[in-house]
Amino acid sequence: MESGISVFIGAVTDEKVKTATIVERLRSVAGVKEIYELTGNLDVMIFAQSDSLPEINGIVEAVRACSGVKETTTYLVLETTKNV
Amino acid sequence: MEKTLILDTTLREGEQAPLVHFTEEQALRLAHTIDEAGVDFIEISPIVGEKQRRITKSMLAGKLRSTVVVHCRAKKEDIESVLALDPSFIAIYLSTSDAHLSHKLHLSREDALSRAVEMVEFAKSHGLKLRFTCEDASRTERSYLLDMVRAVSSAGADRISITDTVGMMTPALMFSLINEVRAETKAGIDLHCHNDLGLALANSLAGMEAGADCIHATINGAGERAGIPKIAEVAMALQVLYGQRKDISVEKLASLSEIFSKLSGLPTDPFAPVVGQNVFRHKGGTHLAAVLREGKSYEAYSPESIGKKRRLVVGGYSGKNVLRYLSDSLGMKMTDAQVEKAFARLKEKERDLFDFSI
Repeated sequence: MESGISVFIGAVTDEKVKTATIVERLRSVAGVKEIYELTGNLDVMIFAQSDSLPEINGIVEAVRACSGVKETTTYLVLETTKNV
Repeated sequence: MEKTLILDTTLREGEQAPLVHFTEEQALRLAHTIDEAGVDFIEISPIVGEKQRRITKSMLAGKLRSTVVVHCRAKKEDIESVLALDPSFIAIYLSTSDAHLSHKLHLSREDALSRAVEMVEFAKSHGLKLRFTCEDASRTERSYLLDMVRAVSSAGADRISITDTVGMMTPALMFSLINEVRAETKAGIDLHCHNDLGLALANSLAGMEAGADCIHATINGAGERAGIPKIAEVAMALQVLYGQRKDISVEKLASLSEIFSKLSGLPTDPFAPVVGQNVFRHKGGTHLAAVLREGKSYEAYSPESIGKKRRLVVGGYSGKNVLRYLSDSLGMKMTDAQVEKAFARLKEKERDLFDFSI
């Protein structure tokens, strides 16, 4: 059993703001573990983990409040399968 | 039963547990944290060795709020050795059961009684507070035990410890025993109950209800064989069941459990009351649903009361409510169909996937 919650937060960003700038802002959010720049419907996917639901909620809120992030969708990880 | 006292004997009984050894620094750190938690007595035996003697000296010089109880045999050389440390409280012990008198001490009942009185009078003549421990009291023939209680009380013992040395009592038997002892003495009564059949805490509480006013305990219940009551459980039982000793910080005692595990390398049982990692961890779907509405649905005491957090397990046993709760908490806005689908996938897993604190 894993300890803690993992989420992916998919974000659509403002095309007027450089993605690199947004990524830098997202990096400063405590609890954000990985940031992926994507093509398609979503521009950025953020991976975050925390033992605490209030903390993970705080991370989601901080990502939403990031300047240049227009909208987000949060996906809860039920299980991770690694292929290594 | 206005205020039940707690004696911590982690540094004496606890260190008699296999694999448990503390350095001087560790022992003093434990003593200070036990003291900060608000425990009334801390027991240690300087007779065991030079290290324990140095620790005892430091504790006596350390201005602890708790009374340091210095433990030794009811023998003149032990008592003299303790007197040299200038304590304010001494505890001397002597077996009272026929099994111990004949196989361990080779003493008659009469000689044991005389020695007990002589040693109590000797120690008391130096102006200390004194506890006399009747070792193996629960297996001692009742009339002889009561003779001993009367004799050491008359000799000046301030407290008498009734021990269930091999953990053979039941709560009803302990209540009856302490009821009889209570009638024979005005001294305070300590309870030192071993846990060989898992009844140490229940027996201690029964003894307390019959008139004893001090319970012996250790961090994580460490002690000879199956140990004695766990101090966090004793404190929490007094608070939750008897509405007393709110002055004791169970949070601090719970933190001591973790420190003890690290120092000893002996992990804490996840099912251990109060300090175990499962105490506030909820898993079953109906439990989760109820706890999310009202914590006390499935909790005897709140996690906040001892500085812990409630945890929820997500997996094959958890229902839809926890998914809906996560969705709402994280602003995920899952539709009913999405919740149903996620729930079906959880059921497929047939095991626990993750847990989290709320």
